[in-house]
Amino acid sequence: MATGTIRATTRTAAAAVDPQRPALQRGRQQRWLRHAAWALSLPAILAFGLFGWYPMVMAFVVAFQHYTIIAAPRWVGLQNFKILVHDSTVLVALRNSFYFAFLTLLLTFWIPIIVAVLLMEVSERARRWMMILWFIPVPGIASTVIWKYFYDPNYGLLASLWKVLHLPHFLWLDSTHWAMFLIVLPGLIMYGPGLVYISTLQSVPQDLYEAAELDGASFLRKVVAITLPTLRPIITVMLLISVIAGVQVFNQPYIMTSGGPVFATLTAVLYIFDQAFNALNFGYADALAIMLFVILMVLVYIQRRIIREEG
Amino acid sequence: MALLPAVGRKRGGRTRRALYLIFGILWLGVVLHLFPVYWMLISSIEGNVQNFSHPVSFWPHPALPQVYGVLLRGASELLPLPMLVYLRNSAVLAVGVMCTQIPISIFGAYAISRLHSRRWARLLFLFIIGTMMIPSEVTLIPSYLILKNFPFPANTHLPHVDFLNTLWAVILPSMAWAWAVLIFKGWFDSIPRETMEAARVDGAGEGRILWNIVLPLSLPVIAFIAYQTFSSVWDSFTWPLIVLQNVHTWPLSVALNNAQSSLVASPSGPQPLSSGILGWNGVMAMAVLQSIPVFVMFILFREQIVRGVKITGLNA
Repeated sequence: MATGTIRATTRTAAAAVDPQRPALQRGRQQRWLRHAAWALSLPAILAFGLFGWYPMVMAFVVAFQHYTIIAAPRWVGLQNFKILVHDSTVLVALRNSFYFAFLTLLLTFWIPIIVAVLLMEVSERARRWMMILWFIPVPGIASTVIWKYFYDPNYGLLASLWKVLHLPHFLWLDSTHWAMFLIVLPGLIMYGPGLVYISTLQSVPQDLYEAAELDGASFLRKVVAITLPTLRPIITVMLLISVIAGVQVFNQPYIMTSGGPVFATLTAVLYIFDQAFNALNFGYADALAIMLFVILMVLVYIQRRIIREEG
Repeated sequence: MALLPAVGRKRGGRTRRALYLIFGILWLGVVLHLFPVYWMLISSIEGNVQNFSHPVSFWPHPALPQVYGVLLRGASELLPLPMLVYLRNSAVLAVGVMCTQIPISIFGAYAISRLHSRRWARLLFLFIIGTMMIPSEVTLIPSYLILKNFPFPANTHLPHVDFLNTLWAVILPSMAWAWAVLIFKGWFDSIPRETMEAARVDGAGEGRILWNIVLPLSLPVIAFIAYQTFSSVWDSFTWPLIVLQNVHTWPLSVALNNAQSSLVASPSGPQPLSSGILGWNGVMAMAVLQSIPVFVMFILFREQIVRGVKITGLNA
C-alpha cells in the first residue's frame, strides 16, 4: 500500500491549497462508486433476469397456452387445468411423489442425525477421519446405477444372494409393491447431508454436558435435554428441505424404473417430464408444473405455521 | 466427548464398553457406506461373464482391467462415442459454469453488500433471491423453450439462436444461482466496514479493494461455493438430459444412464453383446470414472467444506 499512502498524502496536500477540493472529491468518489456498483451488478442482473425471471414469468404464460411442437402456441385459458383435474394419472403421480418423500423420512432422514450424535463421542482425531469416511459423497447418478446393478433380477448381487439363500422368487424393481421402496432403500447407506449436524453440535458449550454430568444425568437424559434441543432448529429446516426435495424427485425413479411397473413409481416430475418431452405437450406439462408448485407452496406454508407455533 | 463422562474412558467398565459400542456402530456404517463403492470398483475390472456368475464372491477377480482402455479410447456396445468425449464434455461444463457463475455471484453480491445505496441494494437482493421461490421443474419447460428460440419463448422468424445441443444450454442458465449470491453477500456483510474504509482513505480504488482485500479474505467461502458448484454440475442429470440430446454433447451422467438402459433394454437382461466384453462391468467402470473427481474434490476441500457448512449453516 506504499503508493496508496503517497497518493493520500498528495491529496491532502492539494486539499490544503484548495478548500473546495474535499467536497468535490467526495462527490466524484460517490459518483464513481455508483458507476462501479452498477457495472459490477450488471452481469448478475442480466443472468438473473434472462435465466431466472424470464422463464419464471413464461411458466405462468405457457400454462395457459396450447403449446405443442408443431403448431404455434395459442391461448386456451384454463383448458389445461380443466384437463388436469380429470386426469387420473395426476393423482397417481402425486401419491407416488408423496410416498417417496414419506419413505425417505422414514428410512433415511434420521441416520445422519444419530451418526452426528455418536461422532461427537469419539476423540477429535478419530472424528475427523470418521467424518470423511461417513460423508464421502458418491455422485447421485453413479450410486443409482450401482444400486440398479444390485437389483438386477438375473445378475445382480441381491438376486444372487437371494438364490443362495433359497428365498422365493422376487421381482425386485418389477414388483409394483416394492419398486418404490427399493428406490428409496439406497439412501439408507448412501447417506445424505450430515455435516451440518456435526457442525451444530460442535458449537455446544461443553460445560453444559459437564454440569449435567455432575447432576448425575444419564446418557439418554443428556441426549434429550441438551443434544436434541440444540439440533432442533436445524432438524426442522432439514426436514422441510427433505420433504420438498422428496416430492420433487426425478433422477432415481427415472434411472431405475422410468416410472414403471404400471405407474408404480411414476412421480409428479416424471409425469411432467413425460408430458413435455415425450408427448411434446408443453402447455399441459407446464400446467402440471404450476399445480405442483402450488402444492409445494401449501406444504411450505403448513410447515412454517407448525414451526411458528412451536417456536 | 460430550455424552459419555470424560472419566472412565481409559479403564474398563460401562463407559469403556459404551465407547466400544459406539465405535462398532460407526465402523459398521462406514463399511456399509463404502461397500457399494468397493463393489463398483471390483465389478469394473471383472470380465463380463464373471459379473453374471451366480456364486457370489466378494473378492475381486480381475479378468478384464482393459475395460477402461476400451471405454476411453473407442466406441463400444455401451457407448456411441469414446468415453473421453463425455469426460471432456463434463469437464467443460463444470469449468464453464464455475468460471461464469462464481465471478457473477461475487460481483453482484459485493455490489449489493457494499456499493449500492440501501434502497437499490434491497431491491437487487430481492430481485436475485426472488428466483429461489420457484422450484426448478416449473422453469424447466419455459427455460427449454427459451433456449431453443433464444431470446424468444416460441418459434419465430425473427433472428434467434438455438442453444439446444450445445454446452451453452447448460452453462447459461447455471449462471443465475441465487444460493451463491446469498452466501457471498452474507460473507461480505460480515467483513468489518473499517477494513475497507481504511483502504479507501489510503486511496485504493474499488477494484483494488475487491481484489486485494475482500477476495483474499473470502477464499474459504469461494472454495466452498466452488466445490458445491462443481459437484452439482458434475452430477447434474435432468437438465442435460433435456437440452443435450446429441450424443456428441452428452455429459458423463447422461452417457452413464444411456449405457445402463441399453444394457437392461435387451430382452433377456444384460448379456454379452457383440464382442461380449462389456456388460455391467463397463457400466461400473463408467460409474468409477464419474465418481473419482467427486471423491478427489471432497478430500481436497474437506476443511473448506466443514468450515463452509459452519459459515452458511446449511447444505452438504
